[in-house]
Formats: sequence, structure tokens, C-alpha cells
Amino acid sequence: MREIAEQILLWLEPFNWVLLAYFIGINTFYLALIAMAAVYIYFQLRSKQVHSLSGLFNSKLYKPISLLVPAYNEEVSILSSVEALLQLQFPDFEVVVINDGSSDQTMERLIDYFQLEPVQMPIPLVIDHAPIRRVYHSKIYPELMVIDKENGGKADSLNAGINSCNKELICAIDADSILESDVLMKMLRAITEDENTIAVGGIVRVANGCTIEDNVIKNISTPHTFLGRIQAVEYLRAFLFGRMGWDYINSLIIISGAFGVFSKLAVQQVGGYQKHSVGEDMELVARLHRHYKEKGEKYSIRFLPEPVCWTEVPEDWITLGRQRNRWHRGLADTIFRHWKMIGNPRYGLLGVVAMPFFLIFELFGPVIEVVGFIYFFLLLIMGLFEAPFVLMFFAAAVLLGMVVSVAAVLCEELTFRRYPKVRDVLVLTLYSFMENIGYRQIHSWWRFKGLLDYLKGDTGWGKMTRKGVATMSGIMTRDRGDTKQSGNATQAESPDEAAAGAKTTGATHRTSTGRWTALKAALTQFGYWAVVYTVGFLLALLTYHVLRDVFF
Amino acid sequence: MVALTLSGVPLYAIQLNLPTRFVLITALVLFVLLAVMLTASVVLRALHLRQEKWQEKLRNHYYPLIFSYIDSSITLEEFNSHIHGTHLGYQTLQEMLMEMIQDFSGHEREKLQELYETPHLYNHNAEMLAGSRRMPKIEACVYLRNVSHLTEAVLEYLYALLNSSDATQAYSAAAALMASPDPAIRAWGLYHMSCRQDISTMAILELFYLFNHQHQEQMHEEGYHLREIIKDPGTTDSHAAVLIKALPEIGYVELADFIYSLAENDDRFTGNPELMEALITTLGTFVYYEAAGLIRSNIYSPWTTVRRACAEALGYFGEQHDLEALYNLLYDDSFQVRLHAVRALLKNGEQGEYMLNNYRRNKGVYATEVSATIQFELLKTEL
Repeated sequence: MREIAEQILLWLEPFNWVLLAYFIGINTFYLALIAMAAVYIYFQLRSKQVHSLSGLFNSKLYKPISLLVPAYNEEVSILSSVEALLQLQFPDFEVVVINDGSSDQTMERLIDYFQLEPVQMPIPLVIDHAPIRRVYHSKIYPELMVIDKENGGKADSLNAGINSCNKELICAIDADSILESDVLMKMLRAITEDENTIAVGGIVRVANGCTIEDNVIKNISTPHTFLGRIQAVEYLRAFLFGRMGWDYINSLIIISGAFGVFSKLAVQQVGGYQKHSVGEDMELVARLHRHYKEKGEKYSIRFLPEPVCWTEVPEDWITLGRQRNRWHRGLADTIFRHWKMIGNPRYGLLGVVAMPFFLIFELFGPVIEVVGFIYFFLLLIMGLFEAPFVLMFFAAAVLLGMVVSVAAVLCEELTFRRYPKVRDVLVLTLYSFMENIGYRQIHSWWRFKGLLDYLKGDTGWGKMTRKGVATMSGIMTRDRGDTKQSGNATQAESPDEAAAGAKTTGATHRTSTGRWTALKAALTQFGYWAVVYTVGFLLALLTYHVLRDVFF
Repeated sequence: MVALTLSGVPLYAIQLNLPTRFVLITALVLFVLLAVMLTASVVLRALHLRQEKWQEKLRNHYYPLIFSYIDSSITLEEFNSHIHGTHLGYQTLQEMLMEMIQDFSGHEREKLQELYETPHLYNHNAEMLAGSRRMPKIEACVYLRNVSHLTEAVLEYLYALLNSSDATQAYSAAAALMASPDPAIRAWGLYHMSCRQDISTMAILELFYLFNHQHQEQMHEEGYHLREIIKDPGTTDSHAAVLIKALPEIGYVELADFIYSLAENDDRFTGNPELMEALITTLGTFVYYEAAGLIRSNIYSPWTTVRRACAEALGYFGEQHDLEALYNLLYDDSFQVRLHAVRALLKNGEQGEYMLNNYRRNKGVYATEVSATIQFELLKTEL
């Protein structure tokens, strides 16, 4: 038996090298990104006053912005969201809400509250989209336009918004996001700095745990739940390092769908958002890169760490799993659609560095991590591997994850310090450690599953359960369960699910699907603790081995 | 225990094979890095809290002094003797004064401005400007943006920075020059930026508004400098175009003749769609009647942007043949041109509406679209 196992081990030897190469590669990339991002943020912050704008806003020649807000069954939060957007500080902007064939009262609520009046308006069909039923203008807010269209999905709604809006720049935002009031002014800085900027992304931060009044963040605090806190660290890491680092070498490939400003002309030139993609935000950015590189035109796609968009993150395992699964399918979709760019010097650093990184470390990383974890564990159990090596390798991998996460918290501390309390910084630091034991492995599994689902052809959005952003005039503190809202809304982000009547009030949902969901939640929780105990066991084993060999 | 571990680890590492040793060293390095970062996190927060406390102290020190100076209870010399001579001391004072200048007006504002330009602050920033480090130079330029009287030495440094290969440095120097009361100095900064490809049109627009000091007596001189900048071959086409378009916003009416001459004779301008569009738009906004013929002759231009500018400009003139030209533009292939033609006709009251109704009656190719545009535009006006 042991001979067969050893034979298998011999046969699997190249896999050890794959693991080692992956480990070295990802370390190098992350450390390089950290270094680049830290320096870049430091210089950006110190020179931000150079482009502080004053005179420009007296002119009618600066670039005005259309805020595009796709809304699908958002009756709970749409009024407060739109009201908050209309209060943003920017001299010339319009808000275009696109009702994507909602089956709830979204449209009726908008009509009543904003005194909408139907208008006939010529809309050039530059980008294809589902038919528009009617266009409305508000009698009380001239800058508000609502487009009522047939259901076609988020990308389709955004395309309809792009065709209908009247400004040079477009800003795509999620209806449940909260923008800081000066966010558009800050975004315009990127365009003032560089003429050729065609897209700008801002930082997305976790709103859970913050105190929100009238859709405005009043008090910033870390989330109160385990998953919320873990995601707060994840978002810091992804935005402060990932995106800043890629921006530094003009290879930014993701601008969050929750908040990004684009040149309308550039988006129209590439044909708008891709309707049949689950990662339409990333896909659009990749297409913009590709278009401009192939045409040989000067352009830049930027990320600014200062303009902040606050978003609610899922706080239950199932919804989070679905979200990460969808993100990974989105990544896979973008990578496979733009396969041609990978390793192609024609696309500059984007083709030679960024795309291969996303292919190897982001897309296939979870495969290597999941398989590697199981592989090492089995070998160790079977006693076929040198225990110190395996354990130290494992410790190094976990430590690296910790270094990167703690570096993100450190970077936040060096620059923005948005979390005012020392307690919050300590919480974030603590969760930077905890994230790597248990959560990271589960996360890899979700992404691994996402890749498999993509290969199977799954293009659904998955059901997203959120607590809702805010009431019209009330105060809502997230996470503590004291939501002063009439009830939690389960938002079906997929039109198909909505058509099947997926809307529910969460707590009262006790169908067979509900039981299956509960079972899945329990299994995920069980999986999490299993991983935590396993990792704990391995680390204890490592400590034992090292101490034994060192001292005895 | 720690010492024992540290001495034990190398001994242990020697016994291991190469890959294991490599991984052990990596893990140790990461561990040390992690410890350093954690310490840094704590130290940084502590430093930040200390700095905040110190700044608060400085603010409490400065506020009474500032108000005493505003009330003329103390002299400038007395105020200066109380300034804390550290970078943080200067920086805090600078920030406080800048905030207060924006909130106050009249005599109080003038007094605050005097404090802002006090030799202590000025010299501190002049030293930063003279240094070799990039960021202090930029910070000094940001300070100088609000200082009207610049010394020769500082001007020399700023002029030198205008030619820097670093666009941010060059732009910050130009923005600092815009505070000068002398239009020639401001024009020098604007000109240098207008010649640079790495400066955006939005940045030029910002400088243009800083260039204009809203003094009636300077308008003529400013106009002269703008004319020179626009026609200078070194000025990039995009920058020339944005400057031309911005002229009517400030009211440089006396430049209308100059703009017309460019649109009529200058090959560089007539052969470039961006520049031609800017010229026609500006001539329309100035309602420069002599240019009506020239604009009408451009309604069949091969460039859409130029035709659109013509549609917009003709709306300001309102003569019968201008309206006829607009009527012809309703048949244009471009939606943008048709949209502007409708808007321009609507601007001309009954006569324009008559033309539009005529078009609808004759069932022009885009009759439905034109009807919708009319309804939409009327609603917007109503709102």
C-alpha cells in the first residue's frame, strides 16, 4: 500500500514544483504591488492640492457628469438613494435612474415622490438595449430623469442610460451605494491631471457598522460581525494595494461596478456594457484597454483612493459565497473573452504582467490553493512527506497572507485614517490575522467553485440578501439588528429569479428552498470551523516539530 | 526563551535540506516583517495622535494671536515673534489662515491676508521652493497660489519650474504665478502650460479662470496676452480651442475681431476641426454679426463638430437666412447637429417655431424625432 502511495507521490512530484512556483510568484507580485502602491499613495496625497479646482467650476466648459443608477426591485431604498444623489456637491450633473422592468413598486414610488412627468425624448440608439417604455422628468428636480424600460439586466440598463444621458462623463453606481458628497469633485481631479483619462475608479469601503442618516455616513466604524470585519480588511487590501498598484503601471483592469466614472464617448466607442457577462464592470474596462491599445491611441484608466463610495456587504455565508462565486465567474468571463491579450506585448504591461497575473494567480489561484491544501494534508496524514517542510511551507503561506493584509491596514493608517478609533484599527489588525486561517480557505473554495460553474456555463447573478441602506429620514445602524426599516429585503439580482418570484421577506421564508439554504449555511459554517481546526492543528504540529528539533 | 529560540533556529536550520531551509527562512523573514509592520502600525497611530495633540496646542496658541491682530491689539512684529519656527508650526498657521480667509470678508480678510503673507511664512516656503526635493517644492507652490506679491528670487524659481519635465511641478508653479497682480507674469505661466502636451485642457481652463483677476482695468491687457497665446504656434490646438471657447464666459468682447480674423484667414485654424468649432461657437456666443456669412458657409462642412457649432451659433443671429440655414440643418445626418438646430430655432420664437412646424408638415425625414425634441426642450425650459 505504502509502495503504491510512494509511486503516486513520485508521479506527483512536478506538482510540488508548481506549488513552489505559485508561492514564489504570488509573493513577488504582492510584495511588488504593496511597494508600488505605498509610494504612489504617498505622493498622490501630497500633491492632491495641486489640482484643487476653483475657477474651473465657473465655466460651462468643464466636463459635467451623468449619474447612472440601474434599479431593479429597489422599492425599499430607491427614494432615499436618489434623494441622496441629488444632494451631491457638483455644479453640473444629472441623475438618470433606469428602472429595469421592476416587478415591485419601484417605478410607482419614483413617480409619486419625485412628481415625475412622462416626456417624449429622442434617444439615439448608439448602443443596443431592451426597449424603453417611457422617459420621465421630475417636476421638482430638473436634473432627475427616470427611464422605464423592459427588463434586460444591469448591463442593459446601463446601456440605456448611456444612450439617454446628456453629459460628457458617466458615473455608474449601484442604487444601494452611498457616495460621499464631494466624491464627484474628487473624481474630476483625475481628468484634470490627465487629458487622456477615459475611466476613473474610486475606493469602495464597507458601510456595515457605520451610522447612516438620510443616506449619509455620519459615524465611521468597523462592522460588528465576523464576516463584515473580514470583508473590511479584504476591501482595504483590494483597493489600497491591488488597484493602486495596477494603476501605477497603467494596468488597472477593474473599476468597481458600484462606483466608476467613464468617458461617455469612450464607452460608446467600444459598444457599451456587455449584456451577457456577469462581470460586466471588469469586462468593460478590459475592452476599453484593448480598444485603445489596438488603435494605438493615448489613454489612461485611473484609480483614485480618495473618493469614497460606501457599500453594504453581505454578512451571511451563503450570500457572500454567491457573491464571490459570481465575481470569479466574472473574472473568468473577462479573461476568456480577452484571451488574446494574455502575454501579448502589444498590450504593454497590461498584456505582459497584469493579464497573466489575473490568469495564473487570480483565476487559477484558487484551484492551486484548494488542491494544494488537500494534497499537503493527505500527504502529511499518510506520512509521505517531510513534516517540517510541509508545515513550514504552510506557515509561510499563512504568514504571507497576514503580511499583505496587515500592510493594507498599515497603509490605511499611513494615509487616510478613516477609522478614527484605535479600537477599530486593532479590530482590523486582528482580523487580518484571522482572515488567513479558515476564511481564506473557504474563500478559495467559493472561487474554485465559481470557476467550475463558469465552465459549466452558469451566467446567473445569484440571489443577494441585503439589509437595505437607509430609510428616508430615519437613522439606521447596520449589523446590530436594530434596523429601523419595515423589513429586510431579499434582492433578486437576477431578472430570471425575480420572474420566478424570488422576492421574500427573509425571516418568514421557510420553504423547501429555505431548508436547503439553511442546510448549506450550516455546512459552510461547519466547513469554516473544520478548516480553522485543521489549520490550528497543523500550526501546533509545526510548533511541536520545530521546538522538539531545536531544543532536544 | 527568545534568545534560546533565536540561537536554536540556525542550528536547526543547518540540519534541514535546501528546500526546507528556504521555506524556513522565508517564514522567518515574513514573521519579522509582520512584527515590524505591527509595531509600525502602533507607532504611527501614536505619532499621529501626538501630532494631532501638538497641532491642537498650536491652534490654541495661534487663534488668540490672530484675533488680536485683527483687532489691532498687537502688531505684525509681535505676531511674528510668536510664530512657532518648525515646519509643523508654519504648516498649521498656514492652514488656519487659509480656512479663515475663505470665511471672512472685508477688512478682516485683508488683515488675515497680511498674516498669510508674513515674512516668516513666506521665507519658509521660499526655502522649500529653493530646495531640491519635489514635494516641498509643490507644497510651496500651493502656498504661493494665494500670495500676491512675489519676490524676484521666488519668481525666478517659479519660472524655472515652468520648464520642468514633471508636469505636476510645472503646473503648480504656473498656478502660483496666477496670484501675481501683473498680467504679464500670469500670461507667462499660462503660455508655458498652453504649450505643453502633458497638461490637460481642464487644467488650462482652471488656469484661465485664475488668470482673469476680475479687474475691469486689466481686461484689456489680459486680452492682449490671451491673443498672443492663442495665435502662438507653440500653443497646442486643444489648448488654443479651450481658451477660445472660454473667452465669452469672462467677457473678452474686444477679442471678437481677432477671433473672426482667425476663422477667416488663418490656415492653421480653418484647417483644424477642433479650432474651427471653437471659433464658430465663440463668434456665435459673442453674437458677432459680421461672422454670420462665414458661419452659414460652414453648414456643409465635412466635420460634424463644426456643423453642430454652426447650428448653435446661427441661433444667436436670428436673421431670415440664418433660420433658413438652420432649417437645412434639420436634414443633417448627425443627431447632434439636428438637436442643436432644433434648439437654435426654438430660441428664435415664432419665426423659429414656424420653420419647425413647416418641417413637420412637410414630413421631413426626422419629423418624429424633431417633434420629440421640441416637446422635450419646451419642458426643460418650463422646468
